[in-house]
Amino acid sequence: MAAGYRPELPLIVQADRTLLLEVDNPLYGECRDRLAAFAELRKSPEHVHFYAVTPLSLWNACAAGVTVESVIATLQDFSKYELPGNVLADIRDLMGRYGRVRLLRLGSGLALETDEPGLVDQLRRSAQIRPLLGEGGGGERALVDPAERGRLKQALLKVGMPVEDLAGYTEGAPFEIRLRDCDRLGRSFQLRDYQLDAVETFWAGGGPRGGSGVLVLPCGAGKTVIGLAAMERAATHTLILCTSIDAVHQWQREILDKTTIKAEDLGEYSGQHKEIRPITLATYQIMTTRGRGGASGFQHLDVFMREEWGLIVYDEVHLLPAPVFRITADIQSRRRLGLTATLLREDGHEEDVFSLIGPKRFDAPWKDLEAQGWIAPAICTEVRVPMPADQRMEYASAEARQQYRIAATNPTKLIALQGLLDRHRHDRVLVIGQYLDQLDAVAEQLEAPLITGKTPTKEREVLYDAFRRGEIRLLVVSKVANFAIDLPEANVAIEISGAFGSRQEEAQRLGRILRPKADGGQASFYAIVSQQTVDQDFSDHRQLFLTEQGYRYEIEDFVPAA
Amino acid sequence: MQLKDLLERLSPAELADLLAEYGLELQENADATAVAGLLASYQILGRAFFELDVFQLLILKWLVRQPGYEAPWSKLIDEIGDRVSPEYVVEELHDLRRWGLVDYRASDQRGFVTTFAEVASILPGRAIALADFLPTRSSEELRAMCSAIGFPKPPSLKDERLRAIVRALSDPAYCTALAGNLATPARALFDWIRARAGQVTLAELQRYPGGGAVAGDLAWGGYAAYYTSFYTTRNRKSEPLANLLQLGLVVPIVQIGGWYAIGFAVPEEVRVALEGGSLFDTDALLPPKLEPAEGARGELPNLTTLLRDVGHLLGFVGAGRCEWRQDGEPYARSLQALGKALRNPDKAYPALLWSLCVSAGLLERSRRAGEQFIPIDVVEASPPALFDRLIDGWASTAPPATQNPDMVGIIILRRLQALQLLGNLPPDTWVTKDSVEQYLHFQRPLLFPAPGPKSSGVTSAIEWPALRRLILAEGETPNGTAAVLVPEATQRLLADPATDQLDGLLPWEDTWVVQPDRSVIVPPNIHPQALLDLWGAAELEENQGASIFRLSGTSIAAALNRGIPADDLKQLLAKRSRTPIPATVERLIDDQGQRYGRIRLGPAQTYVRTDDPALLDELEHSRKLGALQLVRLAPDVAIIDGVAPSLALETLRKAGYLPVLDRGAKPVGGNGPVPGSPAFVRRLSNFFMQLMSQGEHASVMWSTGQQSRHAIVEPLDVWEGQLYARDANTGKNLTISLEMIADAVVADEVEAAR
Repeated sequence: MAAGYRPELPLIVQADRTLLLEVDNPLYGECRDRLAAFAELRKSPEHVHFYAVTPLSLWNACAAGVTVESVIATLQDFSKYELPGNVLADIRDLMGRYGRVRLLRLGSGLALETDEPGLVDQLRRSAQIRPLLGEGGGGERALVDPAERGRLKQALLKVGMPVEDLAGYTEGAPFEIRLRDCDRLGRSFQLRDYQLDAVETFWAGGGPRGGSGVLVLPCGAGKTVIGLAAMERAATHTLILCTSIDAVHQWQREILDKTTIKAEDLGEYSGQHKEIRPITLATYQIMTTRGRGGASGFQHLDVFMREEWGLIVYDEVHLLPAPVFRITADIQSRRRLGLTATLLREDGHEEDVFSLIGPKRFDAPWKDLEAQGWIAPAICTEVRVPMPADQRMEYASAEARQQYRIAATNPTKLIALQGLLDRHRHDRVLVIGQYLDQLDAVAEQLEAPLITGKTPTKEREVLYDAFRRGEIRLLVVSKVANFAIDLPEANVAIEISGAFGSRQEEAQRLGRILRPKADGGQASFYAIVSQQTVDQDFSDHRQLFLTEQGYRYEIEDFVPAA
Repeated sequence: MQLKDLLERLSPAELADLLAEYGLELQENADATAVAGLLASYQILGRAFFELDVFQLLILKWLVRQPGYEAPWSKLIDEIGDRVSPEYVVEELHDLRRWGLVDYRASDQRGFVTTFAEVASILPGRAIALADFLPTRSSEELRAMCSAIGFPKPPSLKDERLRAIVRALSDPAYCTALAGNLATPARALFDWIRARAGQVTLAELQRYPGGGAVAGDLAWGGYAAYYTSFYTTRNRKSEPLANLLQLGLVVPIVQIGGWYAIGFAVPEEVRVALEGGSLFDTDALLPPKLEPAEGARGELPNLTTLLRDVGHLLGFVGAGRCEWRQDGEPYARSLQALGKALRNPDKAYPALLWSLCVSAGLLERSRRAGEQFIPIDVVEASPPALFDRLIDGWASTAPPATQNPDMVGIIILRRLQALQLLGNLPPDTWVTKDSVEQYLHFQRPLLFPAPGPKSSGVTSAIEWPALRRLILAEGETPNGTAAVLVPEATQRLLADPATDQLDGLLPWEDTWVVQPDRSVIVPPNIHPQALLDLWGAAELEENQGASIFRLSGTSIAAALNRGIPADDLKQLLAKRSRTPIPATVERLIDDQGQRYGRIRLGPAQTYVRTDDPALLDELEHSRKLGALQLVRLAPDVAIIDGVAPSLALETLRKAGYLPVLDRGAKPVGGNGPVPGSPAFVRRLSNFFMQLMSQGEHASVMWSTGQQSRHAIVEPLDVWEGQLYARDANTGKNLTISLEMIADAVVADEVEAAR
């Protein structure tokens, strides 16, 4: 047998520093836990999970005190094959770069420091970095304007020189927050192990090495609770940014339910209200509303600077709009927490999230949490329906961009939908769609309430509450319900049309039904697609994220009665 | 002494050994004269020279300068002096004797050493001497040389003139004075030639910095290359080269019987007169030491990766991904596409892989239309056996582009010797590349010329890129010195190719993992046959140790188009999968399988028919198919004017559809005569007559002058250029001029039944 070949081990280390981890191997769990310290989970399909050892992941590891030796030892301990020589060299080289430059507080300003003679001069020669460094400071030191902290870190990262940011954070106005032991209904409440791990990893003892970053957890895994725990650690005035007013209200409910914060300390900064309180919840939309008087033409963006926020929470951070990115570069002295289930930006700006909010600090595979019972097991099914003959002709002769709409709104889907509802007549069902006229038709046919962007907030709340109480068992919703709507009782989601090929939308829609069920039952997710059309092709793409998370799609053919 | 004299002295066992070195067998009753006759040709005896080291060649060169090619033992030992030990000399001579190139007796008393006329006549690199060259010149030319050298009264006889020239130029003082009095341009040229080991080729001389000023036109067939002109044309004295030739300081190198110089050399007598010393000072007599390369780092050859990529190449070809040139070789762009898929940054890698596979017989010429090469079955090959096959193939073939047939043998010998000699390097030890090149040159100087300065741009005779893939590592020391290392495991494989030991090679894996996201994860040491299979169904997406394939609509469609049924595809994936095939993957294959063949094409110009009129609607409206200009004949039939079925098929496939050619759709026209021509009408006539005799229907496409028409017809009669037929759909009788028929084909049963 060739030296270094150990087929019983679970890991394949590739020359491009990707790692393939076999899930069915008995050493999977141990290996996964050790990889988490320095490698980034890229995708986790059913049998083999993909990790990447990136410069960023290694520098994050350095920041957390992980050594080169322990990284190499982990790879050697679990690799089936001899490690490619370049991987070892790369790891040594990349980890060796961390800490060569440090960002420190110097009086009221900041300084970039190094122990290497000439390095500061070398950095000054970079066109990207020169404008961000102040004059003077001495041989191995350059003064830095605190306002340039974020941009300097971004620029240094781009030239492969990660800065060790030891300048710390502005503490913000103090504000005591405590998590309750029981919620308001008297049910016992405490953080789950992985939630605790996520918070501890983010907080890092309150030192300068923690306090900013992104936590990635599946829908239904309790990201809000982790946010609350982070707020408890920070004990300071906190700004929480959400995707929608529904999400703001969701956060408010959770805060009041699970913390000692009083209602009068909670502010809502939205289209309707402009309250700034110790804990303020705002929408991304209001922050990016254009108007006079604000920074860069955005009327409300100065909310970031106006208050002594010690912590800013970015909910659904993958949806962060560009103006908020820019302002985030200016507030690097504040602690920042990003929360998401799907760090997938269809615009490919994941790296900006990392550099401005902070590195990914925690990532829990969906199927691992499912195995531990923290999210409901889900069966995903694609139901394929034929196109009626007359629509088939219309579809065939339509322009390409019209074809998707015709296929997605195929009326045969309604017949198939009725069949699924019959199958789940005792369940709590969400019917989700993209096209309003289609949703109208569905709601009318099923005599079910419909929630769209046009539905007034109060009316939405009433319907959501009725659904939670079980008074309504079927809700028809548009994409407004994609995010941050907590309907723990929902156990069936039927997608009748999607936003073309959006992977994160599909995952979020599944996420609506992943809260663990009281009876331990499983969730069912259906995607109804028109067979042999672009609807089916887009559906294939939408499923990609979930299949990479280990979900399997069963396929059913729906044959309408003659 | 003659070669046969040596052969007569050898014992039968020694003679058999000698013949075995040349790959010959001792025939019964063969006498020494017959055997010597057999050996004494360049093709046979000449082989031995490629096995000699620098010192052995020097010994031979020295011997051919001796009277009768023989010298007393003591003279050779005196000449060599203390440069090497007498024991080493004996060792080297023993090896030469084994080849039948010398005979010797190592003794001060009556000891001798000799070579043979047969050897002397073909000895390569034999020093060029005035004594050899001048007898070929005329008496008049020798007189002119005497005058040029400075004899006021040249001797009257040719032999005396010859001896006088040799004597003068062998005299160190006279020769030095002669060289010292040269005009500056001639002196510069003389020094330039001497600096190149005293010999330059015509091509090198053409690149001399002095250029044309050296000797007018040096091109082949030109005035200067026709060397006799240098001695006969007085007015060329001012040309530096003519000046040197007329003084005898340089002589032309001429092939036997040739009129043109292929190069120019400083004769041996002049060299010795100017430099003094011995022939044995001109080169190393002992192998150079290999220099350790301290702290060198480099990537070791990964034989598992090589075997994996061999599998990829076989799969690439087997899956029909390679495009072929008219000469049957793959297009460079195809190999580049493979290189990209393999994720190997070395642009030369795919071509090297290709040549390795061809020379190892893993790809063989195909007789099937549209294919030039097909991969052979490698199911039974173990990793060492496959590696051995690659090595053997590489070492026993020359690159196909080798123009000169003489070079083919040299390249093969070079490869064999490189493998053998590098296999003897200290294992697992970095040594400087320079010292390895010096070592190879000393051991086989005729195969590996002395390494020149790195700046010369001359390509090394050692094929480092191939060797790097096959047996050794290249690297660098911290100060940038190039280094090489041969792993011990590879040396063991080279030493014992039949071994089943897997040192340096991983055992085959035979399974992969098919995931619901339609990726197929393939381990690095997968059996090449598995890769060969998988390429037929999936596309290579990553290749970084493990290979990751992607199953897609396109890859499945391509497999279906190559005639692999959907069920076979599922079976292909399942038979090696460690996990059950996910539903998403099964459905992908089923879906494509169901779409396959729903569109059918046939000739009679080209028709398109389908059982789904909406699908034909879609084709009509597709922008990608705009160029085809489909014309609807019926809800389920359209025609394409002026486009052959095969081209229409290709266009539809590129647009993402899965059409097939109709069964039996072999057009009457094919690639033959033009519709309307007498030959085409004759062919149609025969075709319809045959159909009538078999009671079959035809699918016919014809023109009425204003529009094209198509019908399934039952032929009734062919008479005076007209087809009389019954329309199978309407039952009406038709009369169609054969000249107006664009094409016709046997209608299949379904069509006829309509």
